[in-house]
Amino acid sequence: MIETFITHVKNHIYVSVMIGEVLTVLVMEGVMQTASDNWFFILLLWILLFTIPFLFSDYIQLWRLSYTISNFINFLDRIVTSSFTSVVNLIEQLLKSERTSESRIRIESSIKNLMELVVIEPTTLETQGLVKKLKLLVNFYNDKLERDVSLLIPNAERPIIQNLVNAVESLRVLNYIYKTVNHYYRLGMKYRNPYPLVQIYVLMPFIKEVVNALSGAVSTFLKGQPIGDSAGPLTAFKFLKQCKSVNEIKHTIKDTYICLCEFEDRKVYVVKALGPGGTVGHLDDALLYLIERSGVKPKVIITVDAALKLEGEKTGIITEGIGVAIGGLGIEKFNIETIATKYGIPLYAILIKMSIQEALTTMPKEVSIAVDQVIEKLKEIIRSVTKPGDEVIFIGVGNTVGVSQ
Amino acid sequence: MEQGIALNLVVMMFVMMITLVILTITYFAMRRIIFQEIMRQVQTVRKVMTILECPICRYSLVREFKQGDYVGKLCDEYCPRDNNRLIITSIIKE
Repeated sequence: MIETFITHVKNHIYVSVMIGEVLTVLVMEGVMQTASDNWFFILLLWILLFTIPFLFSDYIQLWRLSYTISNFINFLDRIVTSSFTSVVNLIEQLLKSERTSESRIRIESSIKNLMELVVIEPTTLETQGLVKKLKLLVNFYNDKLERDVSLLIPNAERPIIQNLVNAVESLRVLNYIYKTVNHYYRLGMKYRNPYPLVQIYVLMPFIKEVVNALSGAVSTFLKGQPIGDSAGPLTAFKFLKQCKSVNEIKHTIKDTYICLCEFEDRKVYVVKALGPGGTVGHLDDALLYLIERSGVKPKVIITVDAALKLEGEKTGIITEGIGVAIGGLGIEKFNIETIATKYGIPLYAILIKMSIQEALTTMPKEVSIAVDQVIEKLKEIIRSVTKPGDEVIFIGVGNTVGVSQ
Repeated sequence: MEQGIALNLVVMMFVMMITLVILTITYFAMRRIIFQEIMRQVQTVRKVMTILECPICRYSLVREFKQGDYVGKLCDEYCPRDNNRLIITSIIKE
């Protein structure tokens, strides 16, 4: 911040002194009623003063934009470096507590490799089976991240490894944003074209918001605190505490928790990711398991998730909806909608509104209050849509970091 | 001639003064903007609190977040009314 300020001041001094000197010469000659042997020089100076901005407007714009964007890129670099250092420091700390040692250089190079990891999207030349291909890639990607992180800290508990994996994923996205912005900046400077820079300049406030959210997410995941996106799993947790006779259902689906509880003579199957480590689970596989393997015939499927609020909306506003409230690439949404359509099951959604920063950092108080209100809304929907003896599936969608079951 | 030189100096000083005034105004304006940004960032740091509840009598206790806390964890703190172990029910940013 201080360096930016000093650079600002220096640049301003140079420009002001230059303008001051030019003005001094012009005014002096004007006051002296222009000596006849200098008239050509003065005329040239006036012409240049008025035509240079028009002739070189692109270069002036380029200089102005490059100055702003290079400061922004320095800011992004600082954020990426500080988040990277936090992750490496935590891994070192965990290794020290287990009395195992690993060189810092090796830890840094492993994390840097994971930050540069690329997932190549499947071809869209033929779209048949695209969702299955995407699901396979996503599962491979998650397994690889977890495997590589657990190689660094082999004796750590699974929740800690999952939290680290989430932090490394956020770091990867941060790194990608930094490299993309840097790429367009360098392209613009290489070809002396201000228009790639104008694009970055226009998007800068939005990119800054996302970057602040992601850097907050890294530190929140490292501490294992629930984030705003954990609103869905937290709703499931609190709902289970109010139910009678909670029975966990054994299954083979990874990182997913399914249980059966009784609410006012209805059988409610509650599905959420398996916490308290950071994971989103496999909610579509859980639904498929319940309906096709366990023979559950639900009257309704209710999903609860966090949603991004619009400017002007308050955090914690609850909205009802129709459809599947689930984010991500759309793989799980596609599968849940397919199953619901096949069996003709209505889909209800309850959304808790929050900003992107609140969704990715520690859960704010307003969201926690909203969760209690969502439970009442959930009960209302169950009472109004079903009758005693019916079955309901309730899915608490979101990352379950810091929330167990 | 001497009058001309004196007039030159006066004009030069006048223009330099204007430049200095513009520079000073810009300096203070930028300083204000930067300090406002710093203050805004300092104000947005909020404390993270853990809320513990007794599963029987609903007694609740609020304390600062500790590494290792998660919602649903059975803690080492006990309820002063019925001596049951407290469970973490919320972790929130105040």
